[in-house]
Amino acid sequence: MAALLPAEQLGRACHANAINWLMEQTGKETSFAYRLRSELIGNGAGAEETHRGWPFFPGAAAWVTPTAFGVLALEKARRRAATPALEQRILVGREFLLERICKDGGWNYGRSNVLGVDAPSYPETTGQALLALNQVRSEKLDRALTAAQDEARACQSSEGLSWLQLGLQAHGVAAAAPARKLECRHVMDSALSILAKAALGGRNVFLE
Amino acid sequence: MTRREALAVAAGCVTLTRCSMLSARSAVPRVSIVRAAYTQGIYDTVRRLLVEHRVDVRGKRVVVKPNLVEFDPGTTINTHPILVHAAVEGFRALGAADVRIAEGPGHRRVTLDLADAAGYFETIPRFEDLFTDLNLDDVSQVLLRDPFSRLNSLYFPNTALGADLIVSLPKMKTHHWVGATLSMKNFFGLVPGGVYGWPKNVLHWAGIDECIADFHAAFPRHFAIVDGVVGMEGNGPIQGNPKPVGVLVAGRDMTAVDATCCRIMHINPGMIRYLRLAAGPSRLEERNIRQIGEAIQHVQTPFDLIEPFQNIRL
Repeated sequence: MAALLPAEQLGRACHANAINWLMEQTGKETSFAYRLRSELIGNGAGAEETHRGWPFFPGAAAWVTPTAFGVLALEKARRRAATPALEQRILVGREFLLERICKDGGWNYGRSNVLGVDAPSYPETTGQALLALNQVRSEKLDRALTAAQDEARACQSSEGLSWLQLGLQAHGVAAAAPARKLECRHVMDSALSILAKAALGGRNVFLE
Repeated sequence: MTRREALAVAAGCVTLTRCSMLSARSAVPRVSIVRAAYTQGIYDTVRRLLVEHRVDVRGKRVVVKPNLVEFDPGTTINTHPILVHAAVEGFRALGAADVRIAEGPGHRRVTLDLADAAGYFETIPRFEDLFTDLNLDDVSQVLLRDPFSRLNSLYFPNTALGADLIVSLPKMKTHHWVGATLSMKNFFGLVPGGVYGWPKNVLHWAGIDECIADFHAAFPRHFAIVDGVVGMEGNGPIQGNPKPVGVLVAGRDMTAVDATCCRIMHINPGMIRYLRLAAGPSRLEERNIRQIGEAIQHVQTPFDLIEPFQNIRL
Protein backbone atom coordinates (compact mmCIF):
# COMPACT_ATOMS: atom_id res chain seq x y z
CA MET A 1 0.00 0.00 0.00
CA ALA A 2 2.89 2.34 0.75
CA ALA A 3 4.19 1.79 -2.76
CA LEU A 4 0.82 2.93 -4.13
CA LEU A 5 1.07 6.31 -2.44
CA PRO A 6 2.58 9.29 -4.28
CA ALA A 7 6.35 9.43 -3.68
CA GLU A 8 6.08 13.15 -2.92
CA GLN A 9 3.72 12.49 -0.02
CA LEU A 10 5.45 9.42 1.34
CA GLY A 11 9.01 10.68 0.92
CA ARG A 12 11.17 9.53 -1.98
CA ALA A 13 13.52 7.34 0.03
CA CYS A 14 10.67 5.65 1.85
CA HIS A 15 8.81 5.14 -1.42
CA ALA A 16 11.88 3.64 -3.08
CA ASN A 17 12.22 1.22 -0.17
CA ALA A 18 8.59 0.21 -0.58
CA ILE A 19 9.05 -0.45 -4.29
CA ASN A 20 12.23 -2.46 -3.69
CA TRP A 21 10.47 -4.54 -1.03
CA LEU A 22 7.55 -5.15 -3.38
CA MET A 23 9.87 -6.27 -6.15
CA GLU A 24 11.21 -9.01 -3.86
CA GLN A 25 7.82 -10.43 -2.82
CA THR A 26 6.20 -13.42 -4.46
CA GLY A 27 3.75 -16.16 -3.53
CA LYS A 28 5.34 -19.04 -1.64
CA GLU A 29 3.94 -21.49 -4.21
CA THR A 30 6.55 -20.27 -6.70
CA SER A 31 9.50 -21.29 -4.53
CA PHE A 32 11.45 -24.32 -5.66
CA ALA A 33 10.94 -26.09 -2.33
CA TYR A 34 7.17 -25.59 -2.39
CA ARG A 35 6.84 -26.73 -6.00
CA LEU A 36 8.95 -29.81 -5.36
CA ARG A 37 6.89 -30.66 -2.28
CA SER A 38 3.61 -30.19 -4.21
CA GLU A 39 4.82 -32.58 -6.87
CA LEU A 40 6.00 -35.16 -4.34
CA ILE A 41 2.76 -35.21 -2.33
CA GLY A 42 0.75 -35.46 -5.52
CA ASN A 43 -0.98 -32.06 -5.57
CA GLY A 44 0.24 -31.71 -9.13
CA ALA A 45 -0.03 -27.94 -8.99
CA GLY A 46 3.66 -27.27 -8.53
CA ALA A 47 4.65 -27.24 -12.16
CA GLU A 48 1.93 -24.72 -13.02
CA GLU A 49 3.13 -22.11 -10.59
CA THR A 50 5.41 -20.22 -12.88
CA HIS A 51 3.60 -16.88 -12.87
CA ARG A 52 4.57 -14.96 -9.81
CA GLY A 53 1.83 -13.05 -8.09
CA TRP A 54 1.89 -11.35 -4.71
CA PRO A 55 0.69 -12.71 -1.36
CA PHE A 56 -1.30 -10.80 1.26
CA PHE A 57 1.69 -11.11 3.59
CA PRO A 58 5.22 -12.48 3.17
CA GLY A 59 5.49 -16.23 3.11
CA ALA A 60 1.87 -16.83 2.09
CA ALA A 61 0.43 -17.87 -1.28
CA ALA A 62 -0.29 -15.34 -4.04
CA TRP A 63 -3.85 -14.05 -4.52
CA VAL A 64 -5.60 -11.89 -7.10
CA THR A 65 -6.13 -8.83 -4.88
CA PRO A 66 -2.53 -8.28 -3.68
CA THR A 67 -1.25 -9.09 -7.15
CA ALA A 68 -3.51 -6.46 -8.71
CA PHE A 69 -2.30 -3.85 -6.23
CA GLY A 70 1.31 -4.94 -6.66
CA VAL A 71 1.04 -4.39 -10.40
CA LEU A 72 -0.64 -1.00 -9.95
CA ALA A 73 2.05 0.18 -7.51
CA LEU A 74 4.90 -0.89 -9.78
CA GLU A 75 3.18 0.67 -12.76
CA LYS A 76 3.09 4.00 -10.94
CA ALA A 77 6.82 3.64 -10.26
CA ARG A 78 7.48 2.71 -13.91
CA ARG A 79 5.68 5.82 -15.13
CA ARG A 80 8.09 7.93 -13.06
CA ALA A 81 11.25 6.01 -13.95
CA ALA A 82 10.98 2.91 -16.13
CA THR A 83 13.52 0.12 -15.71
CA PRO A 84 13.69 -3.31 -17.38
CA ALA A 85 13.24 -4.97 -13.98
CA LEU A 86 10.05 -3.04 -13.30
CA GLU A 87 8.73 -3.80 -16.79
CA GLN A 88 9.43 -7.50 -16.30
CA ARG A 89 7.85 -7.73 -12.85
CA ILE A 90 4.69 -5.96 -14.06
CA LEU A 91 4.51 -8.30 -17.04
CA VAL A 92 4.82 -11.39 -14.86
CA GLY A 93 2.22 -10.09 -12.41
CA ARG A 94 -0.21 -9.50 -15.25
CA GLU A 95 0.44 -12.99 -16.62
CA PHE A 96 -0.52 -14.31 -13.18
CA LEU A 97 -3.82 -12.46 -13.40
CA LEU A 98 -4.56 -13.61 -16.96
CA GLU A 99 -3.78 -17.16 -15.84
CA ARG A 100 -6.44 -16.97 -13.14
CA ILE A 101 -9.45 -15.88 -15.19
CA CYS A 102 -12.42 -18.00 -14.15
CA LYS A 103 -14.53 -20.03 -16.50
CA ASP A 104 -17.27 -17.35 -16.28
CA GLY A 105 -14.83 -14.66 -17.47
CA GLY A 106 -14.15 -12.80 -14.21
CA TRP A 107 -11.85 -13.39 -11.25
CA ASN A 108 -12.22 -15.27 -8.00
CA TYR A 109 -9.94 -14.47 -5.05
CA GLY A 110 -7.41 -17.12 -5.94
CA ARG A 111 -7.39 -20.01 -8.35
CA SER A 112 -10.06 -20.39 -11.00
CA ASN A 113 -10.55 -24.02 -10.03
CA VAL A 114 -10.23 -25.41 -6.51
CA LEU A 115 -10.19 -29.14 -5.82
CA GLY A 116 -11.82 -29.82 -9.18
CA VAL A 117 -14.63 -27.27 -8.79
CA ASP A 118 -14.80 -24.18 -11.02
CA ALA A 119 -14.67 -21.12 -8.81
CA PRO A 120 -17.18 -18.30 -9.47
CA SER A 121 -15.96 -14.78 -10.08
CA TYR A 122 -16.70 -11.89 -7.74
CA PRO A 123 -17.23 -8.22 -8.56
CA GLU A 124 -14.51 -6.92 -6.21
CA THR A 125 -11.75 -9.12 -7.56
CA THR A 126 -12.92 -8.79 -11.17
CA GLY A 127 -12.76 -5.00 -10.91
CA GLN A 128 -9.34 -5.05 -9.25
CA ALA A 129 -7.89 -7.41 -11.86
CA LEU A 130 -9.27 -5.32 -14.73
CA LEU A 131 -7.78 -2.23 -13.15
CA ALA A 132 -4.34 -3.88 -13.00
CA LEU A 133 -4.70 -5.12 -16.58
CA ASN A 134 -5.19 -1.67 -18.07
CA GLN A 135 -3.27 -1.25 -21.34
CA VAL A 136 -3.29 -5.04 -21.83
CA ARG A 137 -4.83 -6.41 -25.02
CA SER A 138 -5.96 -10.02 -24.99
CA GLU A 139 -8.90 -12.12 -26.18
CA LYS A 140 -9.30 -13.24 -22.60
CA LEU A 141 -9.88 -9.62 -21.64
CA ASP A 142 -12.71 -9.17 -24.13
CA ARG A 143 -14.56 -11.94 -22.32
CA ALA A 144 -13.63 -10.46 -18.95
CA LEU A 145 -15.09 -7.08 -19.89
CA THR A 146 -18.37 -8.72 -20.88
CA ALA A 147 -18.40 -10.69 -17.63
CA ALA A 148 -17.70 -7.51 -15.66
CA GLN A 149 -20.70 -5.78 -17.23
CA ASP A 150 -22.89 -8.75 -16.29
CA GLU A 151 -21.55 -8.58 -12.76
CA ALA A 152 -22.26 -4.83 -12.59
CA ARG A 153 -25.90 -5.37 -13.55
CA ALA A 154 -26.30 -8.10 -10.93
CA CYS A 155 -24.10 -6.45 -8.32
CA GLN A 156 -25.46 -6.35 -4.77
CA SER A 157 -22.84 -4.33 -2.91
CA SER A 158 -21.50 -0.81 -3.22
CA GLU A 159 -17.92 -2.04 -2.82
CA GLY A 160 -18.31 -4.53 -5.65
CA LEU A 161 -19.84 -1.96 -7.98
CA SER A 162 -17.12 0.60 -7.24
CA TRP A 163 -14.35 -1.86 -8.11
CA LEU A 164 -16.14 -2.81 -11.32
CA GLN A 165 -16.54 0.86 -12.25
CA LEU A 166 -12.84 1.48 -11.62
CA GLY A 167 -11.80 -1.63 -13.55
CA LEU A 168 -14.05 -1.06 -16.53
CA GLN A 169 -13.15 2.61 -16.71
CA ALA A 170 -9.49 1.57 -16.95
CA HIS A 171 -10.46 -0.02 -20.27
CA GLY A 172 -12.49 2.98 -21.42
CA VAL A 173 -15.83 1.35 -20.69
CA ALA A 174 -18.58 2.70 -18.44
CA ALA A 175 -20.05 0.11 -16.09
CA ALA A 176 -23.68 -0.86 -16.53
CA ALA A 177 -26.09 0.31 -13.84
CA PRO A 178 -26.98 -2.24 -11.16
CA ALA A 179 -30.53 -3.55 -10.93
CA ARG A 180 -31.11 -1.73 -7.63
CA LYS A 181 -29.67 1.18 -5.70
CA LEU A 182 -26.72 0.05 -3.56
CA GLU A 183 -26.05 1.53 -0.16
CA CYS A 184 -22.62 2.55 1.18
CA ARG A 185 -22.41 0.72 4.50
CA HIS A 186 -19.24 2.14 5.99
CA VAL A 187 -16.43 4.62 5.42
CA MET A 188 -14.51 2.30 3.10
CA ASP A 189 -17.58 1.90 0.87
CA SER A 190 -18.05 5.66 0.70
CA ALA A 191 -14.37 6.36 0.01
CA LEU A 192 -14.25 3.80 -2.77
CA SER A 193 -17.48 5.12 -4.26
CA ILE A 194 -15.93 8.61 -4.41
CA LEU A 195 -12.86 7.22 -6.19
CA ALA A 196 -15.06 5.33 -8.65
CA LYS A 197 -17.11 8.44 -9.41
CA ALA A 198 -13.90 10.40 -9.96
CA ALA A 199 -12.76 7.70 -12.39
CA LEU A 200 -16.02 8.02 -14.31
CA GLY A 201 -15.25 11.73 -14.50
CA GLY A 202 -11.85 10.97 -16.03
CA ARG A 203 -9.57 10.82 -12.97
CA ASN A 204 -8.63 7.27 -11.96
CA VAL A 205 -6.24 7.67 -9.01
CA PHE A 206 -4.95 4.13 -9.39
CA LEU A 207 -3.68 4.92 -12.89
CA GLU A 208 -2.13 8.34 -12.30
CA MET B 1 8.15 -16.64 14.67
CA THR B 2 8.49 -12.86 14.81
CA ARG B 3 8.59 -10.90 18.05
CA ARG B 4 5.12 -9.57 17.30
CA GLU B 5 3.77 -13.04 16.77
CA ALA B 6 5.42 -14.25 19.97
CA LEU B 7 3.79 -11.41 21.90
CA ALA B 8 0.43 -12.25 20.39
CA VAL B 9 0.85 -15.83 21.47
CA ALA B 10 1.81 -14.81 24.98
CA ALA B 11 -1.01 -12.32 25.32
CA GLY B 12 -3.85 -14.01 23.60
CA CYS B 13 -2.99 -17.62 23.55
CA VAL B 14 -5.60 -20.08 24.65
CA THR B 15 -4.22 -23.56 24.79
CA LEU B 16 -6.68 -25.96 23.36
CA THR B 17 -6.84 -29.59 24.11
CA ARG B 18 -9.20 -32.34 23.28
CA CYS B 19 -9.54 -32.96 27.02
CA SER B 20 -11.93 -30.05 27.46
CA MET B 21 -14.11 -31.38 24.69
CA LEU B 22 -14.13 -34.87 26.15
CA SER B 23 -15.09 -33.72 29.64
CA ALA B 24 -17.94 -31.69 28.17
CA ARG B 25 -19.42 -34.76 26.58
CA SER B 26 -19.04 -37.33 29.28
CA ALA B 27 -22.82 -37.75 29.69
CA VAL B 28 -25.20 -39.19 27.09
CA PRO B 29 -25.95 -36.24 24.82
CA ARG B 30 -29.55 -35.08 24.40
CA VAL B 31 -30.79 -33.84 21.05
CA SER B 32 -34.16 -32.22 20.42
CA ILE B 33 -36.10 -32.47 17.19
CA VAL B 34 -39.03 -30.07 17.03
CA ARG B 35 -41.35 -29.15 14.20
CA ALA B 36 -41.12 -25.49 13.18
CA ALA B 37 -41.98 -23.00 10.46
CA TYR B 38 -40.70 -19.51 9.64
CA THR B 39 -43.56 -17.87 11.54
CA GLN B 40 -43.99 -16.01 14.82
CA GLY B 41 -44.36 -19.37 16.54
CA ILE B 42 -40.64 -20.02 16.12
CA TYR B 43 -39.87 -17.54 18.95
CA ASP B 44 -41.69 -19.71 21.47
CA THR B 45 -40.26 -22.89 19.96
CA VAL B 46 -36.67 -21.68 20.38
CA ARG B 47 -37.29 -20.46 23.92
CA ARG B 48 -38.71 -23.84 24.90
CA LEU B 49 -35.68 -25.54 23.34
CA LEU B 50 -33.30 -23.48 25.46
CA VAL B 51 -35.26 -24.20 28.64
CA GLU B 52 -35.46 -27.89 27.77
CA HIS B 53 -31.66 -28.06 27.49
CA ARG B 54 -31.20 -26.00 30.67
CA VAL B 55 -28.97 -23.51 28.90
CA ASP B 56 -27.76 -21.20 31.67
CA VAL B 57 -26.58 -17.93 30.20
CA ARG B 58 -27.39 -15.58 33.08
CA GLY B 59 -24.83 -12.78 33.00
CA LYS B 60 -22.94 -14.48 30.17
CA ARG B 61 -21.73 -13.27 26.77
CA VAL B 62 -23.42 -15.20 23.98
CA VAL B 63 -22.39 -15.15 20.32
CA VAL B 64 -25.00 -16.39 17.87
CA LYS B 65 -23.33 -17.64 14.68
CA PRO B 66 -25.69 -18.02 11.70
CA ASN B 67 -24.65 -19.32 8.29
CA LEU B 68 -24.41 -16.47 5.77
CA VAL B 69 -22.90 -17.72 2.54
CA GLU B 70 -24.21 -16.15 -0.62
CA PHE B 71 -26.68 -13.65 -2.03
CA ASP B 72 -29.89 -15.60 -2.11
CA PRO B 73 -33.34 -14.21 -2.78
CA GLY B 74 -34.94 -17.20 -1.07
CA THR B 75 -34.18 -18.90 2.22
CA THR B 76 -32.26 -21.91 1.01
CA ILE B 77 -28.60 -20.97 1.39
CA ASN B 78 -28.52 -18.79 4.50
CA THR B 79 -29.93 -19.33 7.99
CA HIS B 80 -33.38 -17.75 8.05
CA PRO B 81 -33.33 -14.36 9.85
CA ILE B 82 -36.41 -15.13 11.94
CA LEU B 83 -34.58 -18.07 13.54
CA VAL B 84 -31.57 -15.85 14.28
CA HIS B 85 -33.82 -13.24 15.87
CA ALA B 86 -35.68 -15.91 17.84
CA ALA B 87 -32.34 -17.16 19.21
CA VAL B 88 -31.24 -13.63 20.17
CA GLU B 89 -34.55 -13.01 21.94
CA GLY B 90 -34.43 -16.42 23.60
CA PHE B 91 -31.00 -15.87 25.12
CA ARG B 92 -31.94 -12.35 26.22
CA ALA B 93 -35.02 -13.73 27.95
CA LEU B 94 -32.80 -16.20 29.80
CA GLY B 95 -30.75 -13.34 31.21
CA ALA B 96 -27.68 -13.22 28.97
CA ALA B 97 -25.62 -10.10 29.64
CA ASP B 98 -24.77 -9.65 25.99
CA VAL B 99 -26.00 -11.38 22.85
CA ARG B 100 -24.17 -10.66 19.60
CA ILE B 101 -24.69 -12.01 16.13
CA ALA B 102 -21.41 -12.76 14.39
CA GLU B 103 -20.36 -14.30 11.11
CA GLY B 104 -17.37 -14.36 8.78
CA PRO B 105 -18.52 -15.58 5.36
CA GLY B 106 -16.01 -17.64 3.44
CA HIS B 107 -16.88 -16.58 -0.09
CA ARG B 108 -18.03 -12.99 0.10
CA ARG B 109 -16.26 -10.02 1.65
CA VAL B 110 -19.37 -7.82 1.83
CA THR B 111 -20.94 -9.38 4.92
CA LEU B 112 -23.41 -6.59 5.68
CA ASP B 113 -24.70 -6.62 2.11
CA LEU B 114 -25.15 -10.39 2.38
CA ALA B 115 -27.04 -9.94 5.63
CA ASP B 116 -29.24 -7.27 4.07
CA ALA B 117 -30.06 -9.44 1.07
CA ALA B 118 -30.86 -12.32 3.43
CA GLY B 119 -33.42 -10.16 5.26
CA TYR B 120 -31.47 -9.69 8.52
CA PHE B 121 -31.78 -5.89 8.58
CA GLU B 122 -35.51 -6.12 7.96
CA THR B 123 -36.20 -8.83 10.54
CA ILE B 124 -33.79 -8.05 13.38
CA PRO B 125 -34.18 -4.61 15.00
CA ARG B 126 -30.87 -2.71 15.33
CA PHE B 127 -29.13 -5.52 13.48
CA GLU B 128 -26.06 -3.46 12.65
CA ASP B 129 -25.49 -2.66 16.35
CA LEU B 130 -25.73 -6.33 17.27
CA PHE B 131 -23.52 -7.65 14.50
CA THR B 132 -19.79 -8.33 14.31
CA ASP B 133 -18.14 -9.16 11.00
CA LEU B 134 -15.75 -11.88 12.13
CA ASN B 135 -13.72 -11.49 8.96
CA LEU B 136 -12.69 -8.01 10.09
CA ASP B 137 -12.64 -8.43 13.88
CA ASP B 138 -9.46 -8.10 15.98
CA VAL B 139 -7.77 -11.48 16.27
CA SER B 140 -5.56 -13.46 18.65
CA GLN B 141 -3.35 -16.40 17.87
CA VAL B 142 -4.43 -19.69 19.39
CA LEU B 143 -2.16 -22.71 19.65
CA LEU B 144 -3.73 -26.01 18.65
CA ARG B 145 -2.32 -28.77 20.81
CA ASP B 146 -2.59 -32.20 19.23
CA PRO B 147 -4.57 -30.92 16.23
CA PHE B 148 -6.34 -33.11 13.69
CA SER B 149 -5.26 -30.82 10.84
CA ARG B 150 -1.80 -29.83 9.64
CA LEU B 151 -2.13 -26.49 11.41
CA ASN B 152 -0.33 -25.81 14.68
CA SER B 153 -2.04 -22.55 15.41
CA LEU B 154 -4.89 -20.41 14.16
CA TYR B 155 -5.95 -16.80 14.47
CA PHE B 156 -9.49 -16.45 15.78
CA PRO B 157 -11.63 -13.32 16.21
CA ASN B 158 -11.60 -11.87 19.71
CA THR B 159 -15.40 -11.71 19.69
CA ALA B 160 -15.54 -15.50 19.40
CA LEU B 161 -12.68 -16.09 21.85
CA GLY B 162 -14.33 -13.85 24.43
CA ALA B 163 -17.73 -15.53 24.27
CA ASP B 164 -18.99 -17.68 27.13
CA LEU B 165 -21.20 -19.57 24.70
CA ILE B 166 -21.13 -19.81 20.92
CA VAL B 167 -24.41 -20.83 19.37
CA SER B 168 -24.14 -22.46 15.98
CA LEU B 169 -27.20 -21.73 13.82
CA PRO B 170 -26.49 -23.49 10.54
CA LYS B 171 -28.70 -24.49 7.67
CA MET B 172 -29.29 -28.22 7.14
CA LYS B 173 -27.46 -28.76 3.84
CA THR B 174 -25.55 -31.26 1.80
CA HIS B 175 -21.96 -30.29 0.99
CA HIS B 176 -20.05 -31.19 -2.16
CA TRP B 177 -16.75 -31.73 -0.32
CA VAL B 178 -17.64 -33.12 3.13
CA GLY B 179 -21.07 -34.66 2.56
CA ALA B 180 -23.15 -32.57 4.95
CA THR B 181 -22.72 -29.10 6.42
CA LEU B 182 -24.36 -28.68 9.81
CA SER B 183 -23.49 -27.15 13.19
CA MET B 184 -19.81 -28.17 13.22
CA LYS B 185 -18.99 -27.08 9.66
CA ASN B 186 -20.67 -23.75 10.45
CA PHE B 187 -17.65 -22.92 12.64
CA PHE B 188 -15.62 -22.34 9.45
CA GLY B 189 -17.19 -18.89 9.67
CA LEU B 190 -15.35 -18.25 12.94
CA VAL B 191 -12.07 -18.10 11.03
CA PRO B 192 -11.20 -14.56 9.94
CA GLY B 193 -11.02 -13.88 6.20
CA GLY B 194 -8.99 -10.81 7.07
CA VAL B 195 -6.16 -13.18 7.99
CA TYR B 196 -6.79 -16.21 5.80
CA GLY B 197 -8.27 -14.48 2.75
CA TRP B 198 -11.35 -15.54 0.85
CA PRO B 199 -12.39 -18.38 0.55
CA LYS B 200 -10.06 -19.37 3.40
CA ASN B 201 -8.25 -21.79 1.14
CA VAL B 202 -5.49 -22.45 3.65
CA LEU B 203 -8.05 -24.41 5.66
CA HIS B 204 -9.00 -26.45 2.61
CA TRP B 205 -5.38 -27.38 2.01
CA ALA B 206 -4.91 -28.18 5.70
CA GLY B 207 -7.80 -30.64 5.46
CA ILE B 208 -11.44 -29.55 5.63
CA ASP B 209 -12.62 -32.42 7.82
CA GLU B 210 -9.63 -32.08 10.11
CA CYS B 211 -10.11 -28.32 10.43
CA ILE B 212 -13.79 -28.81 11.31
CA ALA B 213 -12.76 -31.18 14.10
CA ASP B 214 -10.14 -28.67 15.29
CA PHE B 215 -12.67 -25.80 15.43
CA HIS B 216 -15.04 -28.01 17.38
CA ALA B 217 -12.31 -28.65 19.93
CA ALA B 218 -11.29 -24.99 19.96
CA PHE B 219 -14.72 -23.80 21.08
CA PRO B 220 -16.00 -26.36 23.59
CA ARG B 221 -18.63 -24.02 25.11
CA HIS B 222 -21.19 -24.29 22.37
CA PHE B 223 -24.85 -24.96 21.62
CA ALA B 224 -26.46 -25.78 18.29
CA ILE B 225 -29.81 -25.09 16.69
CA VAL B 226 -29.94 -26.38 13.10
CA ASP B 227 -32.32 -24.66 10.68
CA GLY B 228 -33.99 -27.62 9.03
CA VAL B 229 -37.24 -25.83 8.29
CA VAL B 230 -36.07 -25.61 4.69
CA GLY B 231 -32.71 -27.26 4.00
CA MET B 232 -30.72 -27.81 0.84
CA GLU B 233 -30.17 -31.07 -1.04
CA GLY B 234 -28.05 -32.02 -4.06
CA ASN B 235 -25.03 -29.88 -4.90
CA GLY B 236 -24.87 -27.95 -1.64
CA PRO B 237 -23.90 -25.77 0.09
CA ILE B 238 -24.64 -23.14 -2.58
CA GLN B 239 -25.92 -24.67 -5.78
CA GLY B 240 -28.33 -27.24 -4.39
CA ASN B 241 -32.12 -27.26 -4.26
CA PRO B 242 -34.49 -26.33 -1.43
CA LYS B 243 -35.58 -29.25 0.74
CA PRO B 244 -38.42 -28.61 3.17
CA VAL B 245 -38.11 -30.72 6.33
CA GLY B 246 -39.94 -28.50 8.82
CA VAL B 247 -37.75 -29.07 11.86
CA LEU B 248 -35.23 -27.50 14.20
CA VAL B 249 -32.60 -29.82 15.70
CA ALA B 250 -30.87 -28.63 18.87
CA GLY B 251 -28.50 -29.71 21.60
CA ARG B 252 -25.33 -29.03 23.55
CA ASP B 253 -23.25 -31.72 21.83
CA MET B 254 -22.67 -30.68 18.23
CA THR B 255 -21.48 -34.12 17.15
CA ALA B 256 -24.74 -35.62 18.42
CA VAL B 257 -26.82 -32.84 16.85
CA ASP B 258 -25.10 -33.30 13.51
CA ALA B 259 -25.39 -37.09 13.68
CA THR B 260 -29.13 -36.70 14.28
CA CYS B 261 -29.44 -34.26 11.37
CA CYS B 262 -27.65 -36.78 9.16
CA ARG B 263 -30.18 -39.46 10.08
CA ILE B 264 -33.02 -37.07 9.29
CA MET B 265 -31.36 -36.42 5.90
CA HIS B 266 -30.98 -40.20 5.48
CA ILE B 267 -27.19 -39.94 5.61
CA ASN B 268 -25.02 -42.34 7.61
CA PRO B 269 -23.25 -40.11 10.19
CA GLY B 270 -20.50 -42.70 10.49
CA MET B 271 -19.56 -41.90 6.89
CA ILE B 272 -18.99 -38.21 7.63
CA ARG B 273 -15.29 -37.99 8.30
CA TYR B 274 -15.27 -34.91 10.55
CA LEU B 275 -17.90 -36.50 12.78
CA ARG B 276 -15.79 -39.63 13.12
CA LEU B 277 -12.73 -37.52 13.94
CA ALA B 278 -14.48 -35.42 16.57
CA ALA B 279 -16.68 -38.04 18.20
CA GLY B 280 -15.44 -41.50 17.30
CA PRO B 281 -17.82 -44.00 15.69
CA SER B 282 -19.50 -45.32 18.85
CA ARG B 283 -20.68 -41.91 20.07
CA LEU B 284 -22.42 -41.38 16.76
CA GLU B 285 -24.60 -44.45 17.17
CA GLU B 286 -28.30 -43.75 17.59
CA ARG B 287 -28.50 -45.69 20.84
CA ASN B 288 -25.86 -43.40 22.35
CA ILE B 289 -27.86 -40.23 21.73
CA ARG B 290 -30.99 -39.44 23.71
CA GLN B 291 -33.56 -38.04 21.30
CA ILE B 292 -36.18 -35.62 22.61
CA GLY B 293 -39.33 -34.48 20.82
CA GLU B 294 -40.12 -35.90 17.40
CA ALA B 295 -38.78 -39.34 16.55
CA ILE B 296 -36.26 -39.36 13.70
CA GLN B 297 -38.45 -41.76 11.73
CA HIS B 298 -41.37 -39.31 11.82
CA VAL B 299 -39.43 -36.46 10.24
CA GLN B 300 -36.90 -38.38 8.13
CA THR B 301 -36.64 -36.74 4.69
CA PRO B 302 -34.06 -38.27 2.34
CA PHE B 303 -31.86 -35.57 0.79
CA ASP B 304 -30.63 -35.98 -2.79
CA LEU B 305 -26.88 -36.62 -2.84
CA ILE B 306 -24.48 -35.91 -5.69
CA GLU B 307 -22.76 -38.88 -7.29
CA PRO B 308 -19.50 -38.89 -5.26
CA PHE B 309 -21.52 -39.10 -2.03
CA GLN B 310 -23.93 -41.91 -2.88
CA ASN B 311 -21.95 -44.14 -0.53
CA ILE B 312 -22.88 -42.10 2.55
CA ARG B 313 -26.56 -42.93 2.20
CA LEU B 314 -28.00 -44.49 5.37
